[in-house]
Amino acid sequence: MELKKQIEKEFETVQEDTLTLLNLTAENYFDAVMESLRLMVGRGEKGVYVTVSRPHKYLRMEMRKRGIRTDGILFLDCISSMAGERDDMTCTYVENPSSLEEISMHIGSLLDKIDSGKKFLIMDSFSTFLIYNGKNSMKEFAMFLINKLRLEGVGGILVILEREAPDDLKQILIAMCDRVIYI
Amino acid sequence: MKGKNQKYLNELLKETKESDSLEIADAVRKIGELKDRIPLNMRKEVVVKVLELSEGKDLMVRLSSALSLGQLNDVTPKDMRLPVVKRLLELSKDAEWGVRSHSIIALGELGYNIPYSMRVKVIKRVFKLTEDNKDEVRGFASVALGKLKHIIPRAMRSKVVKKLLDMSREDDLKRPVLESLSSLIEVIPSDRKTEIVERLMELTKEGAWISITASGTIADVGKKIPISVRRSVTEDVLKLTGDCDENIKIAAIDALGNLNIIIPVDMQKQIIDRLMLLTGKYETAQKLNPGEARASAIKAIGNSDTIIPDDMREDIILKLLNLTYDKNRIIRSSTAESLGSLKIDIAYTDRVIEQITRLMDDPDWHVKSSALHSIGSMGSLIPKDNRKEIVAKILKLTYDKNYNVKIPATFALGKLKNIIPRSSREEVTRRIFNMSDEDGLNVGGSAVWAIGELCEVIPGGMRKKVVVKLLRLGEIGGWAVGRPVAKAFGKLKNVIPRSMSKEVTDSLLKLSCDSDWGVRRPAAWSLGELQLSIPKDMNREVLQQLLVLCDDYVSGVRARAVLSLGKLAAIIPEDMNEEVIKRTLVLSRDFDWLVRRPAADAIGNLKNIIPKSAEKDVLNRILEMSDDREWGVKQKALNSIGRLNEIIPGDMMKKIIVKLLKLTEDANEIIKVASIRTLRDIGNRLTGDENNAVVERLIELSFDFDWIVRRSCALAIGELKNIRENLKTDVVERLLCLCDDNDWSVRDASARALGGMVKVIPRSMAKEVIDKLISLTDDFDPSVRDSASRSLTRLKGIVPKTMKDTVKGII
Repeated sequence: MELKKQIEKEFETVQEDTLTLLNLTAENYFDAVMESLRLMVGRGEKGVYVTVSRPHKYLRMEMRKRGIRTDGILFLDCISSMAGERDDMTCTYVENPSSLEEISMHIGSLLDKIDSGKKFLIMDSFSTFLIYNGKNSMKEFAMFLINKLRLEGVGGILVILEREAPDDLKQILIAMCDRVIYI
Repeated sequence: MKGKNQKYLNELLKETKESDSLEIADAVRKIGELKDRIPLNMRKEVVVKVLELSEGKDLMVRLSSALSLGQLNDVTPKDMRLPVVKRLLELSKDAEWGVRSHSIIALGELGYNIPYSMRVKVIKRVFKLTEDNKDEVRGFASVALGKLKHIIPRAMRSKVVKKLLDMSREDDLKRPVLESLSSLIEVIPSDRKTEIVERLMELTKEGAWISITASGTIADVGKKIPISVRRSVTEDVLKLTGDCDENIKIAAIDALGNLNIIIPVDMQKQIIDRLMLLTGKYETAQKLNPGEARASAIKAIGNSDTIIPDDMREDIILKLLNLTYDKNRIIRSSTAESLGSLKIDIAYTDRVIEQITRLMDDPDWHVKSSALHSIGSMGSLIPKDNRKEIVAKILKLTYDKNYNVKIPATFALGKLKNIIPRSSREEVTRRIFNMSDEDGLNVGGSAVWAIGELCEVIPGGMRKKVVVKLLRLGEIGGWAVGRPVAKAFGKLKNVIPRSMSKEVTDSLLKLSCDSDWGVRRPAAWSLGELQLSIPKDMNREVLQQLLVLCDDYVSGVRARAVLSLGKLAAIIPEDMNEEVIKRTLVLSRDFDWLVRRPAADAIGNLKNIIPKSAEKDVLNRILEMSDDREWGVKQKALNSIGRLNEIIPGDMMKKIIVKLLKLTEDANEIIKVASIRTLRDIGNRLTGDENNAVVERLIELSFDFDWIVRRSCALAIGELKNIRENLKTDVVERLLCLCDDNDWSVRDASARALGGMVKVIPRSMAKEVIDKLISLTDDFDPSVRDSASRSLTRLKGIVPKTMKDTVKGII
């Protein structure tokens, strides 16, 4: 309950096209992402959820459990293929989380597919991407993604786990985002 | 905090018993993410559970378990490491490529924690997977090889590099392989290094994604780039700063900023010129320069302070001062940051500080935050008249709602401790004191850090209150609060009231058992800092705990523990001497040089407690350490040899002198200087031929290009007691020459050295020596004048009659 209120308070000033960095502890990580998503969906926004930490099936299940609507969300799943799952037509799969070029391409086309003026993207999470990619690749990916979101006026929630991202990458993310929320 | 973690972990362990495999996989992932937040008493149980789940039928569960086993690396108890490695090797043969990939990623994470007996097997397996039928697995295997570089058998290193270089020509593998290659550069011969750097440079000419990553990687390799290719690397990166792809251009500018240590001297001006041009809105009359590129160039200038030619410094500062008014907030923010990193000429200090202070009021929080970072590094440059006003402004910003302003403001106050006016001290301390109770990630922690920094300015009346608060916060433990509290106690050693030393020691002992190594490490350090403040009846408990920490699985904790043992030499009870020395010797053989270095240092500090029976072992070991492959260890070992002087047996002295003389030829200046200092320390034990060899070598070295070497030689010569008659004139003549050195510290050392050589200076040279010292009493440097004057006092006995009145007038 406390976490939910904290997220609500933090998001009060978050505009539609704001880029927000969620800097989370491992214990709060998943709940904070879900609560942020609830707020975005609650405002009538539609978006793309890029997941590398959990399969989209699990995310859908969790969202249903928590009463978060899933119909306005397009999933880009970068992990399920590694476990041999890519049979859900409602989801876009990437075979390998280190295929950053492919992921970038899909992000662009999924954002184009959304028929709403208020779009957002959740990147869950940079810390997990770092398991599969080197620091320099991730720096470039972060810059590419942020520039893309800015150009298209799309709001973004970028997630990192405190102590699970190198300082220089964290500094780039902090410098380029409009808000940083520590939970 | 601990209770919360335990509850969360118990819930996760419960979820691993669910029937839904997705939930189980998720719980396993979350367990892996917890890492060292897992309480110490539950670690074995957790690892056993994950191992068990890794054998499950569900693919996602196996995959998540493999990954978690890697993430839990640092918290895996020693006796569980073998089963973990064995299991990961099994999983690396899984029929599913996703599981093979994750097991390889996990093996890469284990590094040094892979038991010796399994290392070759692991490397061979990972190497084999670079030939897997799935490119994804091959990519992850190449990354793992980079991470496991230190355990790759020497004989296999060339084979690994060749394989990776071949793989770097395959389209899908270029990116993972190039970061791995740059990592391996540390452990391979230089001809191979050149080959790697050349390949990385080729990759900078590939498509955008590869090129950008390659530029970043080249910058990371930095000073490991062989001298022979530094010029061509600089030229190529410089060329890339003009690339038409904006992202490649920015990556190249960033790389230039990080490569300043390898840029040839004759290219430095060209580089700075180019960076200056790139800070402008237009690169050429027609070509607009994007904001991000400008910001990168500004930051690169800030990183390049050491290579900025003197005649360009003024232009740069003026340009940056102008940029503080730029409309683009990214430019203002980068400028604020760079101004804090550059050496500022005294003529511009006031203007720079004025602008940084103005930027602290900027409407954008990024700019405020950068300005606060910079003002924190200005310290004594801040004019006295402005200090009160600036401190008040920073203090106000500690109330900002945005943590990205509030936290740097807190840090700035800590860093500016020495310039906080007396009249503001109480207000600052009170504010920081109150902030330490605030919730929110890093706010309380940064305030506690600042309390530690402000120790000397905490008003007497508040000291007890501060310590009481820290004791209470220490109860919370954990990374965010426990870590800064543990560190603050060490820093506050001189202000902790005697009546509270027991509670502080108790608190540190508790913190040194925290499940988070980030807390145990500063706690181990602070226990050593307390020294005689530790109540006598707690000495044994503290030492026992430090011995336990010497066995910690985290190198940083072992390093601080052994360092503290050295510092606490004076309180070690006799019956613990043997155990302490034994443990220190074990750590002197640690695989991690970060532990060997403080162990080498501790050996010297523990000189008075070395049991007679262990003297030979200790001396042999410290001598071996002076050959360590890491210069940091060598340096500390050399210092300790000097401190162990009194227990070196005569028959060993000759061997040591030979070794020290050899080390004075070391390519590393720090080792050269350390060996000269050690020769000085054992100078009084030198006799006969050994003495002559040392004197001759010191005279030779006193011609060195580096002033630190010349200074050390002068001081060492001054300490030698038994200089043979035939060398006395040469020695004194050389010191007289060094008294005219261009560097003030060499003149200072020579003047001081002469003062201690009353028995060495030949009567025939007394006048010349006194003349020289008299002239140095007019030196423009006050230290030289002071040393010369003191030496004249010490040499009173040899002052020629005709000069007595002059000398008397001076001293």
